[in-house]
Parts: sequence; C-alpha cells; structure tokens
Amino acid sequence: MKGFAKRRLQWIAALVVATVVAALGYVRWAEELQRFTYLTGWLLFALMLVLTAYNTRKKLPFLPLGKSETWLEFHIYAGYFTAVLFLAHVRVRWPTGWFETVLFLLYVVVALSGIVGLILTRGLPKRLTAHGGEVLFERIPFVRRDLHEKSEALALQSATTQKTPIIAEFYARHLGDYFARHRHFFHHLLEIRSPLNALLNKLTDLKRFLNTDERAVAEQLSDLVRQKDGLDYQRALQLTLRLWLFVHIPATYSLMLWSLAHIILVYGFSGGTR
Amino acid sequence: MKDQLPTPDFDRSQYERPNQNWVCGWACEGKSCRVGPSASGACRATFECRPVLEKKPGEEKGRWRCTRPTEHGGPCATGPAPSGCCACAIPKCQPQRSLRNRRGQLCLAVIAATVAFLLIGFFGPWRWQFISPGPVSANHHGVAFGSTQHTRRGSEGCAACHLAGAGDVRTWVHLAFTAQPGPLEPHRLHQVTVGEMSGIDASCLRCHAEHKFHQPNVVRDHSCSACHREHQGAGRMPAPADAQCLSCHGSATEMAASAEKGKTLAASVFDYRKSEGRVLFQTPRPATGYSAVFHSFATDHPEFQIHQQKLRETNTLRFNHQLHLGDNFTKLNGQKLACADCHQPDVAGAYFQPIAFNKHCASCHSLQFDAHNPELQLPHGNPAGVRAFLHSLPTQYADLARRRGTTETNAVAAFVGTQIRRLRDLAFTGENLERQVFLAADPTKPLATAAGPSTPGRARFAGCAYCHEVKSTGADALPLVTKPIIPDRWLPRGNFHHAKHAISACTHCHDMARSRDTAEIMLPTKQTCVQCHSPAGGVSQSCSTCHSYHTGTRH
Repeated sequence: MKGFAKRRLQWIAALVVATVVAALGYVRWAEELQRFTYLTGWLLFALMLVLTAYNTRKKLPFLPLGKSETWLEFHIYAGYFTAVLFLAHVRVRWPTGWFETVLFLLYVVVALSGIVGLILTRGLPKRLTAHGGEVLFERIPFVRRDLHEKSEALALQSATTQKTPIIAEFYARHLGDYFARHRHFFHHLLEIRSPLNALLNKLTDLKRFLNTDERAVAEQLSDLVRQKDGLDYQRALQLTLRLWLFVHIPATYSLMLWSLAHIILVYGFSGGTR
Repeated sequence: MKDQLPTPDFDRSQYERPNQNWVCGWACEGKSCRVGPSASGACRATFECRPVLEKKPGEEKGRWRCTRPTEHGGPCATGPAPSGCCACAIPKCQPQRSLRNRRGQLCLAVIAATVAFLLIGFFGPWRWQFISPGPVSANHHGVAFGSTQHTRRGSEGCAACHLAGAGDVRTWVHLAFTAQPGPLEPHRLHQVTVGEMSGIDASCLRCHAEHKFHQPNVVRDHSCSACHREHQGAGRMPAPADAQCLSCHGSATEMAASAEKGKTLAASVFDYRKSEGRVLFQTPRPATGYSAVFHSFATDHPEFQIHQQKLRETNTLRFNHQLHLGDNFTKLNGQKLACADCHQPDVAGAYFQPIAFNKHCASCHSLQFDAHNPELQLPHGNPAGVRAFLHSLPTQYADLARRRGTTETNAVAAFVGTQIRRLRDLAFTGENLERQVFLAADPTKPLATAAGPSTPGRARFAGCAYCHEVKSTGADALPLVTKPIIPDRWLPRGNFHHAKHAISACTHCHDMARSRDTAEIMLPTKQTCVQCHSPAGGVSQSCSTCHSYHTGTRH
C-alpha cells in the first residue's frame, strides 16, 4: 500500500507539473505562436492515441510492454492531462459548429465516463470486499441456480412433510420469483436494504403461524434469502464495474475517428491558416 | 462491523473464460453443458458421453460402457442404449455472447455508426453546414458578400475563402496533404513564424487587394488570418491579439528595418489618412517613424507624440480656458460655464461637434459695436461682409429704426443722422470705425500705434482681433482675418470614445483650469490613461482598444 501511495504521489506531482507547464505555455504562447492550436491539437491527439492503446495493451499481455499497472496509472493521469490540453486547444471556448460540437461532446463523454469509471473501480471493490460473499462474475448464474434449487427443494419438502402447505404457498407467492432471477439492481448499487428487510420481515411474520419443524425450514429459507441478496449485490456491483466500459471504450473509438476527420478538415480548409 | 457473507461454494476446477466470445445458452440459467458452444456461436451439444464398446475375450457383441467423466456425474444410471448411443442427450441451447464480446460488438457498431455519420455528413446535402466550424463574422456574410464573384454555388460561400470549398472529400484530403506544413509534418509547425503569410491569406487578398492599409514602411506583410480569426460567431470579428502587433512592434530587428525603410520613402506617402470630415491635428512624423519597440501600453508604450515632442496648437483663435471656467465668469443665467456648454458630443458620442461661433460664442460675445443700439450687430465669418456692412451703416440704422416701429421717413432720416453723428464723434471717420471693428483687441485700451497711421483711440467694443488674428494689409486694403482651425481629432492614430469615458470628469484628463493659452494642448498624458488602462487599473490595454491596423486605405 505504501508503494501505491508513493506512486500516486509521484503521478500527481507529474500531473501538476505538466499542468503548470501547459498553463504557462498557454499564457506565453497561445497568441504568440502562430500554430499553437495545431501543436496542442497534435499533442492531444497523440496522447489520446496512447490512451486508446491501453485497451490493446490489455489484450496483449504476453508482449513486454511494461506492467499493466503502470499503463493504468499512466492512462488515468494522462487522461486528466488531456483535459488541460483540450481546454488549451479549444481556447476555453464553446464550439459553434455542428462538427466541432459533436467532437467536443464526444470528448466530454469519454472524459466523464473515464472519471466515473475510475470512481467506480476505486469504490466498488471495497464495498464488495466489505459485503462478503465474493464470487466470480461468470459463476453468479450457477450460484443463483444452486440457491434456487435449494430453496425450491426446501419448499417442496415442507409441502410433503408438513400438514399445512403454508411455507410452500409463501414460497410460491414471495420467494419463487425472487430466487428465479436477479433482483434489485439499483437498490444494491445504492446500498438500499429495504427489499431484503421487507422479505425477511415477511418470513418473520410467517413464523408466528409455523410449528417447530416449519420454523426450522423458514430459518433455512431466511439464510438462503440472505445469500441470494448477497449474490444479487455482487452481481449488481460487478456488472456496474463492467458496464461503464460500454460507454467509455465505444465513445473513445468514435472520438478518435471524429478527431481524424477533424484533422483532415482543419488541414484541408485552413490552407495554412492558424 | 457488519458480518460478511460467506463465499458461495463452487467447483474451482471449472475455469471460466470470460474472454471467449460465446457462452452456453444454459449458462444464464446456471446450468451450462460441458461441451460449450463453438467459436462461431453454434451449439455443439449432442450427448453427455460417447459410449465405448468393451469386449471381453470370447464375446462377440461386447458391451457399451458410459464414459461420462466423474466431474460431470460419472457413468449414468441408465447407461448407453443397445445401439451404442448415449441415453443422455444434452438439450440444445442458443449460445449467448459473452459480456466482453457484446462490448466488442457495441464498439464495432459505434465505429460503423460514426463512419456512416461522417460519410453522410461529408457527402450529404448539408455538408457545408455540417463541417462549418461556426458562423462567419458579420463582415463575411450577408447578401453583399454572397454576391461576390468568389462565392460558388452549393458551397454556402465556403469557396469564397477556402479552396477546399470548391470540392468534395477527395479535394479536402488532397489539400490537407499538400498543405504547408502538412498533417504528416507536425514537427515543422514550430518553423512557422508569427504573422507569416499563409495559403488562405491569398483568398483574403482577392478582395482586400494588397496590404496597403498600414504604415508604408512595413517591412513584411502580416498574415490576415493570423489577426482575424473567422468562424467565431456571427457578430463582429474578434479584435486582433496584442501578440500579432507585438510580433513587429516588440521586435527591435523589425522596427529597425522598418525605420530604415521609412527613410527611403517620401514624406508624402505617409500622409494617407482620411479626415472623414474631421479636422485632424497634424503631427510631424518623427525622424525614425513610429518604430519604437514596446511590449505593452502600461509599461513601455511611447508617450503620446503631442507630449513627447511638446507640440503646440497652431490655431490662431485666442481663447482662455482658465478665464472661461473661472469662478468669476458666469453665463447670462448666472451659472458657471461648464465644459459641456461648448463641447457637445456628436451623434455617436465618440467625439464632439465642431465649435461654432453662433452656437457656442454668440450668446456672450455679441458683435455689437454701438452701445446705444445693441441690436445692430456685425456679421461674422466674412471680413468683406463686415466692410460692406459698415459702408451701409445709414441703411442699417434705417432698417433698425423701421424694426423699432418708426415708419415716417423724416423720423427715420433723423434717427439715422443722429446715430451717424454720434459714431463720428467717437471714431471721427468711417475708416477709423472700420479699423476699430477689425483691429480692436481690447475695448479698454486704445488701438496700438501700429494699427494705423492715425490712431482712432479706444474702440469701446471688442473688435475682430479680440478673438482672431487680424493682419492689417495696408491703408485701404481689407484686413486679413486668419480663419481659426480647431482640430477635433488630436490623436489621429488612435481611436477614442468620449461617451465610454463619461464616468470620469472632463478635468480628470483635461486640466483646463490652468490653460490660458490657446496653443496649449491639454490632452492627458499616457500616464493618465494608464491609471485605468493597465493590469492594475483593470481596463483593457490591448492594442486594438485604441488602434486599428487598417488605418485607411492607401492608394
């Protein structure tokens, strides 16, 4: 952890230095340097190209391209720095044309999704660990099915061994659908416990009408409900950890294509103007 | 601390491969088959095992044995069918794309959509609106601009300035790669010097011919597009940045070269400014021209030439600001004279209306010469007219008598005779009266000896010379009254808007209370302006605040 904190300080220091240098460069050369906008544009494009290559780097783990951890740290802090370059490039001005507005918005989408992704990847794993019941994301359907089968077996067993089908009826009414699929995505994401508490309260209320054996079955069902809730929690958070990339990566590719077209347009129409 | 949930049990020998493109359709139900989908996403499920025929020595038929692996339940209870077929068929599924594969598919879709959108944008009928980086300034749009010979149909006027506006995407790409420096030469960008003429400047020069709108001793033409950034909005074009001006005026080399070039040019080529109906104060051009090196208005901008060279006004009108603004000087209504009584802003509010005798002076300075008949006033502005008026005094008095209501001829004649005799008692002769009218500079003193051969004595009224420079040109010749020329633009190389400075009192900049001589030019010094126009003052000190590069067209 000490190594991480030290590296983070180093990266932040590098980012601050780069930002200060860029800000001073903007003040000093923004007007004086004939092609300042071109220079910031090329720097920005080159940096975005390297940032985009991070996704490719992840797919080529066997190549000696440096540690993935270093790539990720560079991706994060260089990503922050692109915002500085971007502001310098657009001269802190809202674009007025359609093409440039789309390009501007694409950058904003990529940058914001990246920041959101960083916040998620920093925060959600801690919550997952604290909550417990960690399971591989790809294994979640199997665990859910296992819980479903166990709960269903308990309900069926109760129906056959007990005189009243009260637990089976309760299962059919309240728990069947609960175990059959993943539930309460946003509640888990927002740490809202009310759906679980409501279900457990219903089970608690039910116990007043149960005999000793049935109460034992109800206790087992309560345990299974808690496990299912934990599993849903794992799925909600782990899925969120994967879903932000569905915005960040496609928008990045679109941004790069749009940037290429921007370069062609700028050079084609400027004919050498600034 | 909250209790952690236990980790669910699952078979760790089952290694998940999330990077595979397809997963078994039953996996979503938590019960994937062990065969799994093919790489192309087809279900490969057949049977749970492939039975093996085992023959013991001596047996002819043998016996089929179930080969289902232990990790998948081991040999099944039913065993293979007599035909050797597995009895446990795996139900077919519809394989699903993995999450990673779906993300890849989304990426491809977004890339395809982006390319399609760009192609539609570039080849569609709205291509010019699509690629336009924004509306051009008011100077470059509208009916007048659209009708210029350079505008091409179908390009929304882009072709008026851009070569690429005359073609399609192929032309754009071609022009992009032939630009100097091109897109593959970003390392050459730093070699482009400030203000260097570029390709698009040639388009500017098609309408704005040549660069003859700055000082004639400019050493090199400055790029139009470096200063004038288009597509910044439909309003006025943004003002040029100081850096563009300082690329020359902040460079000692450029300024030295400019000064040298100026020495080779005739003085007349620098006199190209249009007066635009105003009287410009003529400042002599410095020996080295305006080639001082400076970097900002507040720091090292040269002092205004009027103060630097201690120039004095050449206007011959005698006017004492101190006297007129003094406490002892009041208007007819008893109020003190204020600046605005004479200096009234023009319609735009930038400058002031010219000073006119009838409008600004006559209310106090009446041109009466006969204290008994104050209504009778001399004409103003034409010495010949004054002489004619004096020569027709009997007629003038007769008219005056009629205006007063005397209609009887004898009474009028008597009135005229009385007035003429009285004037003769004072001035002795008509010539003397005329000399008093023209040459009397002080009504309290007799005319100077030099004013004429026989001094007519004290005039008792203010003659033309009270305010004007009057030169006696001979005994009978008409005196020469120098026409006063009052400049209304004192700093013709800079712009000033008085209305924008109305927040300050006039005397804050113009210290007129101590000005007694017309020749004194009471303009503020640069330091007075710097009090506000500086970083400390908080008001803009950019070059374009006061100056325009395009100082009128030179022909």
